[in-house]
Amino acid sequence: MKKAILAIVVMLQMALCGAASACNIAVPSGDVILVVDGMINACNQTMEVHFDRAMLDALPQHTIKTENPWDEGQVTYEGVLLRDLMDHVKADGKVAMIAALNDYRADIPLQDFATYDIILASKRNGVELPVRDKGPLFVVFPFLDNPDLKTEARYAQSVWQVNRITLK
Amino acid sequence: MPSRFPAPGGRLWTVIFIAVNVLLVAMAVVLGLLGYTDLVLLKKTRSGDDPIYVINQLGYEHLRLLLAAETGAAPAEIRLRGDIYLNRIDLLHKSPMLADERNRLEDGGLERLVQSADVTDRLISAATTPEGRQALLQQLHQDVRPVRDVMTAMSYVSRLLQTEERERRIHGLIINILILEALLAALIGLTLFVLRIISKLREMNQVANASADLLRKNLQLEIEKASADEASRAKSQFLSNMSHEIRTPLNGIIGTLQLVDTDSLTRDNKDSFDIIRRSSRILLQIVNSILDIAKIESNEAAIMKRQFDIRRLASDVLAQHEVLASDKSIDLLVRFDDAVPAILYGDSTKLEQILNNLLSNALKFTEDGAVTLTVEALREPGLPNGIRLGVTDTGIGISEKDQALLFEPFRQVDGSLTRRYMGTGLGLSIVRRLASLMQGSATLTSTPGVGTTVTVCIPDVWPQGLPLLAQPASAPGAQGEPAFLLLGGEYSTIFRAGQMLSALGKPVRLLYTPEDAADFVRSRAFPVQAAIVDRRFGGDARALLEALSDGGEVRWDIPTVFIQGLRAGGEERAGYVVDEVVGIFSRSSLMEALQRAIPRGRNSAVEDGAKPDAGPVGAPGLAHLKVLVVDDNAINRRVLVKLLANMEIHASETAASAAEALHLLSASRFDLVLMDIQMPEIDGYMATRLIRDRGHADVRIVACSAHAFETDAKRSLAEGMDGHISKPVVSAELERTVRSLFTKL
Repeated sequence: MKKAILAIVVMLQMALCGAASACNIAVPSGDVILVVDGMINACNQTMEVHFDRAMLDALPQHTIKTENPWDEGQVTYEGVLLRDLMDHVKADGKVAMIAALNDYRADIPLQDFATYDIILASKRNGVELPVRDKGPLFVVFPFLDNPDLKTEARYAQSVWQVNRITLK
Repeated sequence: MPSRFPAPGGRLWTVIFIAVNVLLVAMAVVLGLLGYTDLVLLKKTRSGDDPIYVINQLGYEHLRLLLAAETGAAPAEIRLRGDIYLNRIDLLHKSPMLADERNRLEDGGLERLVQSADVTDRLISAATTPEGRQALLQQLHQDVRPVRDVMTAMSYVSRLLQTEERERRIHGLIINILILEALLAALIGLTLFVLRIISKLREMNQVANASADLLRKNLQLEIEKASADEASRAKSQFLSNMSHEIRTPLNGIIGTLQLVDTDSLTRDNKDSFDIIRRSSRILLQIVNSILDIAKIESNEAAIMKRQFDIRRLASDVLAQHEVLASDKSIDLLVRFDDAVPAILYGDSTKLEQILNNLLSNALKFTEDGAVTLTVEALREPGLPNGIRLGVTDTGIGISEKDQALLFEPFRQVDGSLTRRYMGTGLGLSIVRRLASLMQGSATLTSTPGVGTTVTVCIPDVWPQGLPLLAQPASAPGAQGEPAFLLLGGEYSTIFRAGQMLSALGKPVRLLYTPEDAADFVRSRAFPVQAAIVDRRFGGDARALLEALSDGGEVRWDIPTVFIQGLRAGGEERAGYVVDEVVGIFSRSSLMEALQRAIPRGRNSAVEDGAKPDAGPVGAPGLAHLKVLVVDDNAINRRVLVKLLANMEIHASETAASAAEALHLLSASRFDLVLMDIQMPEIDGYMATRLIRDRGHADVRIVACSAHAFETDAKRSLAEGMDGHISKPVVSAELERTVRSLFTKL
């Protein structure tokens, strides 16, 4: 029963995507670690864009040196700039709702991605982030370059264990 | 005026300025420090995740893992949920944000959980088989309690930390507020202090200005007063000098006039002569008045107390005014309160001056009616042992408005009155000043058209130790001698007659009212030699006396002399011999009348005192005196010799200088020396000392001085003289003085 429903859903998605001319992003081959949905004009699934690690690594990478309340001292994070990611999925809307594996959520206005070099980090000091340590993806603000970002609100927006971004 | 507060720019102002600035700077610094501290504190405040959320997530992920394992989820799903759970444990264990909470945890629950996390990690990886999953489930079930304990403990600690932080901040806020309040209070205090200083300074300035003003005004007033006083003194001095200058030639005029034998003048000449004589006397009075006021004004008048007979003094003063009263047909009355002692102790000269002024004023402004002198004992408290002199006239009176001016010197109610009545307008002013010199008072009551009463109160004139007693003027029959009865004691003539008799040592009894007379006729309380009766007594004295007789035992059979009658000549009346004295009488004319009235053989008492040949102004006992007149002025010498001759003193010699007088004194014996004071080379005082030094202790020396000041009189006595008369010498004063010196012998 469950499988039947899943099969129907998958078929429906494929049909829809195939119907949409905007579905121009390649389908992931590895494990999906991030789903982007909502007001986007790109897709590789029905109204969603699924990313595996390779797809994300294929996007332009950005490295920032920063500090935060959860790491000792300064650390280097590497990942895709969120504004690049938004461009990639042809994001529309104003706010990105970022959700984590543990169902934590935070909204970040798209405007902030243009203003600051906020990245969706996948590596700390060159090492991939495991789930046990804020992986697979971690929203990292350039706190070191922009001390005025050091606010409770930004810390709340620093979502880790990210697995979904919904544009609103 | 020095102020207790410094002027702006002074040291205090600098101190205040510095204090205000220091306080303001301190406030700024403290405020900055507090703000900075707050800021630092805020920055230090932990920020990041909500600890409670993080802590709660531990239990949530623990349960989700347990659920995944129990519901038989795929191994990958269990691995994912496991990693999320282990991430929560790692966060609690390692996150710098929770360092404070970890430090405060007392039990080792967290450490135990971290240790079991490694086991859990391995069991998650091995949960691919049902056995592995069962082992994981068992482990997770074992972890329920430690997870709950860690969550509870950390929540509690987190709440504790939050509370502590809030309290710290509240504490800091309170301190901040207190510091600010203290600084504000200091600032307000300083402001108030400065305001107070400013207001005080303003006040001081006002006071200083006010006192400076006052001082200036006072100074100005004092200067004005001083110059006014100076001017007044100079005026008085000038008046005094001028009066002296005028008195000297007046001396000559009046003295010489007394030498003129009026009998040899024709009637016209006699009238002219009278005018000259009266005018010169008025002139003398005016000059004396001016001199008096000048003396009083320049504070030269001194009080000279001595014993005197007030009745005799009154009699003498009245005598001086009887001529004028008679000329104007005004009754001159006198009334003595019996309580007034016979002998008083006070300044008789000033009292005489007062009475003279009052009587001449009263007579001057009275056209008809009477002028009454009353002398009473003062019984008011505050004026002990005093007398009240009252002079009442029936004259034109003075309006209330003008009364206030009367006591001012040189003030007269109406300039035309001055011309009509003549005079200086000084009379009342002199009276008041003399009275106040004697601590007394002078008051005036008047009704225009009805009359005026001037009352003078003089305190403290009883002789020392004498109580206020009623003392009859003369006790009748003191030596068992029959008395002279006087009827109509209110009339000054009768009073004078009584004084004349008592001066001769005769007992006298005055009866004031017809009732008293009637009582006496009935009772015959004491023996009577003769009666002197005023014609006006009881309206018509003659008719009254007739009426006293009841036709039997009670009748008037006393030898009687009527005085102030209109006709001369005696007549025999039923039972009593009557004589009459007309007009102003002298002692001798009174004695003559008494002799005629008293039947022969009963008049020895009269003959003793008054010889018929005693002359017009009889001077019994003086004719034998040998007198030396010392004066450098020839006219004065002539006048004095002539005056003495009028007193039946013919054995007079003269000396033109003190040296000549000493020579004459050493050559022969004299009873009396009339000594001029102002003489060249040796003055009268020096001459007196020389006379006394040379052993002439018994000779009486009387000073004759143009200086009529009391101080001169006092000095005269101090220099060894026996008396003092002022120039121009008037016969009455000379006679009185000489008599007082020699009748005592």
